[in-house]
Amino acid sequence: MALGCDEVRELLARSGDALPLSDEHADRVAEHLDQCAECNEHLSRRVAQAVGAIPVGPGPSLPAVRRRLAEDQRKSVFLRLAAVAAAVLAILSTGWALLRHDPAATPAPRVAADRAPAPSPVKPPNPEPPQLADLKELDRNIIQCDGVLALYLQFCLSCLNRPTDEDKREYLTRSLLIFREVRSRSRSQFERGGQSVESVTRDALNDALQMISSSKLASVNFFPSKVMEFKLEPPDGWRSDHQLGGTRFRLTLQTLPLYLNFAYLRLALGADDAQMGRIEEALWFDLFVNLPKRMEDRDPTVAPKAREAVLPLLHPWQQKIFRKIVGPM
Amino acid sequence: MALLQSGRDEPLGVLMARHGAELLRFFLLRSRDPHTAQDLANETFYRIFSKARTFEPKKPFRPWFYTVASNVWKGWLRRRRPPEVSLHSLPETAEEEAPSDPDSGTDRATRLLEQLSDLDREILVLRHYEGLPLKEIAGRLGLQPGAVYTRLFRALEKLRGPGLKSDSV
Repeated sequence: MALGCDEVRELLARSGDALPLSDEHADRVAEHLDQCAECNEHLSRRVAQAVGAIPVGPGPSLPAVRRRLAEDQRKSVFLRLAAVAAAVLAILSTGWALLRHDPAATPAPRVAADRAPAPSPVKPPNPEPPQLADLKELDRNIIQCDGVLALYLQFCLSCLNRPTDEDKREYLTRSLLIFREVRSRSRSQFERGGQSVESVTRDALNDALQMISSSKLASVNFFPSKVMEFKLEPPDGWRSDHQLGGTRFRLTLQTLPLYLNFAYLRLALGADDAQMGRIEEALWFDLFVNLPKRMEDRDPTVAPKAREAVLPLLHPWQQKIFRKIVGPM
Repeated sequence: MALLQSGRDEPLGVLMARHGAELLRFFLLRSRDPHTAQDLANETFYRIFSKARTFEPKKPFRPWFYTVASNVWKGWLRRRRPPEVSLHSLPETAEEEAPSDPDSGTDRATRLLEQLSDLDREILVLRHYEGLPLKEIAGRLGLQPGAVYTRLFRALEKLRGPGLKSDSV
């Protein structure tokens, strides 16, 4: 027997937890509601009213969306410039390689010659690596921030995500660019003064997160939304509280060893930009992957691998310094 | 939308004022977590701006808007992982934050939504945000239409709460 609109609306208007309908009756009510436009409208109004009564907290944030849009725009300009610079560099280096091409040389010596460090105009610095305490405060701050940022970017890759090989390579390339960009911003902040190393580092981590999250990869897409707090924990650790999904977590890590800290190596080895670029790339794409976990596990292969990766890129006098920084094996 | 399509972001504020609360409820019903809901709402408006050019002005706004929101939700589901990291000592739970006000909107919403099963919340979303007939909802969820109606009725009762059980239709 078909139901009438009155009966259905009376059912809709009922209140109370129990709904005394048999399955068959309920099916007929549902069928009527789907077929009768007016009763369907009644139901829609009632659903809208109930959903609309769910209390909500603060709404979406226009400044947050605008920040992200601005970041996107800035990043897109940055990436375009980086691509143009890389293309120019590739053309120049190809031209240079062709000009100095020696047809008599076999490929192997050529490769070896390419890997060897270019003659450095830099006068060998003190053969003893500097102690952190002897450095200027500005340099110490930059070194601390640099180490945290590098480790954190790698933490996001290997500890939070399970990337495919292709995405891992892509993330490492992007994150190195982001690392360099954020590092130079942090350096400017330190040079302006007035901010603690902890607050500059927290800003740096948030900048990096924001840049990464604006272009996530399919299998590298799980990142903390925000670093709420960053603290150094002397003598050799740091911690950060971050928002991950709906939960706040604390990450505690050891400080990056000085022999892996790019800012420190630059000072200690007297390396120029080109040489530091080679050192950074050799470490970033290899030893640094999964480094937070290796450090946590006190992996004994880290130091030997660092020597293996870095020594071929150094002049003999730099090699002596680097060996001292790494310490006895 | 025409202004958004021209690359100006001022109308985002208007859209947020008009649709922000309802969008938050959409994500609250899906996730039950106010923080996630807010993040996803921000993400939706970000995409609305980025994809404004794909909107066809002759078509209604709401379905397009909630299609974007649904895609944001699906993307979040795909990349969601348990909140844990693989380091031995992690995660350490951070210090407890100050207890929130139990009468705040977000807490009341959380308590309210905890009374509903995942299936009930899905039915509410399909009915209210996607506007599907009960029969189609039943088909999608593998239920009888009558069961969908019964669940919907009971979910509405729970949402009305004890203080709101006066007549509402």
